[in-house]
Amino acid sequence: MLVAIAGNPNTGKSTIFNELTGAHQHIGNWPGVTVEKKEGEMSFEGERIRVVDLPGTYSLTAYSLEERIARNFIIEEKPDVIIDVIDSSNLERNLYLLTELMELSDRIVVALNMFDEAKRKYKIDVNKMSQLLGIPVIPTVATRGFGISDLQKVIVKGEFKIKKFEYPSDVEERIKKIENEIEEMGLKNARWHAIKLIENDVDVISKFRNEKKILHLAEHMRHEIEDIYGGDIETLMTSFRYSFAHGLFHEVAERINVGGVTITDMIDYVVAHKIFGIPIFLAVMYLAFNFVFLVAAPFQDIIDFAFNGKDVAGGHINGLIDISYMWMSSFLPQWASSLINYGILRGLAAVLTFTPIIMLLFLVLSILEDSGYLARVAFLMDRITRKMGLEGRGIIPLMLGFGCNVPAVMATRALKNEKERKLSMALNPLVPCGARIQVFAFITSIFFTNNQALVLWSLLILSMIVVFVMGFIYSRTIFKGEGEPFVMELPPYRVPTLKGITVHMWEKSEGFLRKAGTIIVGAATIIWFLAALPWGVKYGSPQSYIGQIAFLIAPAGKYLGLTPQAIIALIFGFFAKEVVIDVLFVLYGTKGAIAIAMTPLQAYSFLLFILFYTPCVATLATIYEEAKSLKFVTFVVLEGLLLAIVFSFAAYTIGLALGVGT
Amino acid sequence: MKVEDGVKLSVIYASFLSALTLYFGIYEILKYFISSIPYLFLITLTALYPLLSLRKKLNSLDIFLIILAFLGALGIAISDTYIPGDVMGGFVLILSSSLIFAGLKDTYSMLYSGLSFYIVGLFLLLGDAVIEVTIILAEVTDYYINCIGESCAGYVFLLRPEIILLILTPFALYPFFKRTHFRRREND
Repeated sequence: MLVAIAGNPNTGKSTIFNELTGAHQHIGNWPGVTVEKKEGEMSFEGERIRVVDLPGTYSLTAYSLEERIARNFIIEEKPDVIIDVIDSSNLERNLYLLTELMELSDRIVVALNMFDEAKRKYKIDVNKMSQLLGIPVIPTVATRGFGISDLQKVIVKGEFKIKKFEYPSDVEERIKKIENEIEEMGLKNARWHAIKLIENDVDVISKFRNEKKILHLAEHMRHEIEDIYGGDIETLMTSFRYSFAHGLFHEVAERINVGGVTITDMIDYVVAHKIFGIPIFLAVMYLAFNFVFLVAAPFQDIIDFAFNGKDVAGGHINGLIDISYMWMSSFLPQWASSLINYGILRGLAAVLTFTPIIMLLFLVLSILEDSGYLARVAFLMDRITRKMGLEGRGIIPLMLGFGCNVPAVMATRALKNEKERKLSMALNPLVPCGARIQVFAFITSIFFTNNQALVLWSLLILSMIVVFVMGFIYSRTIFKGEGEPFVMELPPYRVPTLKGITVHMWEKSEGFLRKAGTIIVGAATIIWFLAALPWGVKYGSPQSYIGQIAFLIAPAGKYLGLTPQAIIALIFGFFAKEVVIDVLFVLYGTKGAIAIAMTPLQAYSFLLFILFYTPCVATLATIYEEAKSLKFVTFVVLEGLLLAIVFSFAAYTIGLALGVGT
Repeated sequence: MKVEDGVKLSVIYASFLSALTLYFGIYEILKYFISSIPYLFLITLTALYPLLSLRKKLNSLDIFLIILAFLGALGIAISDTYIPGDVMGGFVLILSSSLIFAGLKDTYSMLYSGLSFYIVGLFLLLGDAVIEVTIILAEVTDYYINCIGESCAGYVFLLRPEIILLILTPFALYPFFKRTHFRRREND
C-alpha cells in the first residue's frame, strides 16, 4: 500500500510523516524545506505501508518545482491514499489545495493538524466536514502525537465516498465536452486533464501537443468561459475553487469573535447574520421587484401604444394592429384579417408588453447571481430548507422556479437523494414562475395601482410560507428520508460584467420569447375561434362559444369570487400562464372593462388561485419526464388545485366578512 | 487629519444620517396607515437616537446632534407632502438605519466587526436611493408616454426622501475607503 502526504508548507506534514513512520527528519519553518522526496514505512495490523512525504505546496499548478513533483507523483504513482495535512488554524486558505487534490484522487484523508490552536479561533464541526466531503477527517496535533492512531486506522480502514467538486454549470458543460474527447483516447484522469487544458496548463498542453482537435476545443472553451465570466481563465478557475473552500469553511467552522479583513468577509458577516440575514434578503427582493415593475412601465406602455394604439379625447390613435387589420382587409376576407390581427397579433402583443418585465427581472436576478449574493441566499436558507426536508442546495431549483418551472424541475437532478428530488419537484410548481408573475403584474396594474409591488411581494411571501409548510409536512410524511450533506460554494463578491449579465439575462428570457411564438399563438388562435364562433355573433359576446362556456361554469367560481371569464382564463392558462392575460383581453376587450368586472377582493382571490393552481402543460410534461410517474404528476396537479381553492376561498370569505376590497 | 479622526467624524455624521433614515422609515410606514402623524413622538425618538449609538453620558457634541436631529426632523415634518406612505420602502430605510446603528460603536473604535454593519447599511441605503432615482426617471418618462395625443400639464416633481439620502450618504463612506486601517478585536 502506498500513502502520500500532501499539504501546504509549514502545516506539520513532516511531523506527521515522522509520527507515522518513526523516521527522523529535520523539521524547519522555511517554506519548501521538504523539496526532496522523503520515504518511510509504517505497519498497521500486519499491513506494510510505504509513506511518501511530498513537497509542501499551496496548489498543484505547473509553476514551481515543488508543485510539479507533487502532482506528477500523484498522477504517475497513483497512491492508494493521500493524506492532506491542513493547518486548521488557517483552515480556509488550506482548503484550496484540497479542492485540487479532489480532482486527482478519490481516496483522500484530511488531517486537521494544529487542532489545538484552531480551537482558539473557531469551532470546527469535524463530522460535518467529513460528511460534506465524503472522506475521513481526523483532528491531529502532530507535535503531541494526538490523532495519529486514528489517522493510521482510517488510512487502512477508512470509508471513501468522495463528493465531486463541481464548477458552475457553464464551466462544467465545457469541461465535460473536453473530458468526453479525452476519454475516447483512453487516457486516465480525463476530468483532471480536461480542467488543466482549459486552465492552459503548460505541462498538460505539451502532453497533448499532437492532439490538435482537443487543443483547439480547449482553447475555444477557455475563451467562452472568459467571455461569460469576464477575466482570465486562471483567475476564474482559482476563484471557483476558492468559492468552494470559502463555502466549506462557512459550513464547518464558526469563528469565535468574528472579524473580517476582506470586503467579502465583512459583507458575509452581515448578510449571513442570524438576525439581519433574512430581513436583508427580503429588502433586496423588494427593491428588486420595485425596480423591475416601475422601470418596466414606460417600456410596456410604449409597446402597448405601438400595437394597440390609444383612446384619446379626440378619438382613437390607431396602433399597428389596427393599421394591419385595415390593410389586410383590403385583400383578405374580414374574418381572416380579424383572426390574424385581433386573434394572433393581439395575443402576441399582450405577451410582448410584458417582455420588459421579464427581461428586467432576469437582469436583476443575473446581477444578484453574478455578484455572488444569490449563493449567500442559498447559504442563508440552508437552515430553513433542512427543516423542509431539503439540503441547502434544494433552494436553487426553488429559486430557479421564479424564472420558469421547467428548468427548475430539471435542476432537481442536482439533488442526489431521490426522495428529496421528488419533494423538490412537488414544491416547485408552488413557486410563481415568470409567466405567473407577468399575470400578477397585469392584474395588479389594474386593481392595485398604488401598491403593485406590495401586493406582489405579499404573494411571493405567501408562496414561500406555503412552500415551507408543505415541505415540512411532506418531509415528515410522504417524502420521509435522510438529508444529503453538501458544500455550498460562496464565491467572493464582485462587480458583474456587462457581458456576463447580458448573456445570462438573454439565456433566461429567450425561452419566453420563443414560447410567445409557439404555444401562445396556438392558444390565441383557439381562443379567437371560441370567441368568434358560431358565425354572426358578436366577438366574445355571451352568445359566442366562449360566452356559453362562461355561463355554464359560472357557479363553480361563486364561492371563490371568480367571474366566469376569470375561470375561462384559468382553464386556458393550463397551456401557458401568460395566456390568462390574452383571454381576459379577448373576453373583456380593454383594461377598463376588466377593472369594472371585478372588485379588488375578487382580483386578489383570482391572483391567489393563479399563484397555486396546476402548473402549465410544459412543466407537467417535464415533471413526468423526470419522475416517470403519472401518479406523481396527478399528485402535483391535485396539490395545486386544492391549495388554490383553499386560499381563494379563505381570502374571499374573510374579505367579504371584513368588508375589505369590496 | 488623522485617519482615526476622520473615521470618528464620519461615524458622528453617520449617526445623524442613521437617525434621519430611521425617521423617514417610520414616517413612511405610519403615513401608509394614518394620514395624520403624531410628529412629536417621532421627533423625540429621532432626537434620542444618536445618543444611544455613541455614549452613555452627554457631552456638547451629543447636545449639538440632538438639536441638529430635532431641527432636521422638524423641517421634514413641515414638508410632509414629500414623504410618501410606503410600507416596504419604510422597512428598507429602517433596516438600513438599524445596520448603520449596529455598526457605529465598533466603527468608532476602528474595529472590523463594526465596519461590516456600517458599510452594508450604507450600501443598502445607497442601493435603495439609486433605485428610487431610477424609478423617478422611469415615472417621468412614463408620464410623457401616456401624454401622447393628449394635452397634459408638466410633470410635478416630488422630492422623495431617498433623493436627500442619496446626496447625504456618500459623505459617510470615508471609513470604507480607510478599511485597511481597521483591526480585528483583540481576541479575534
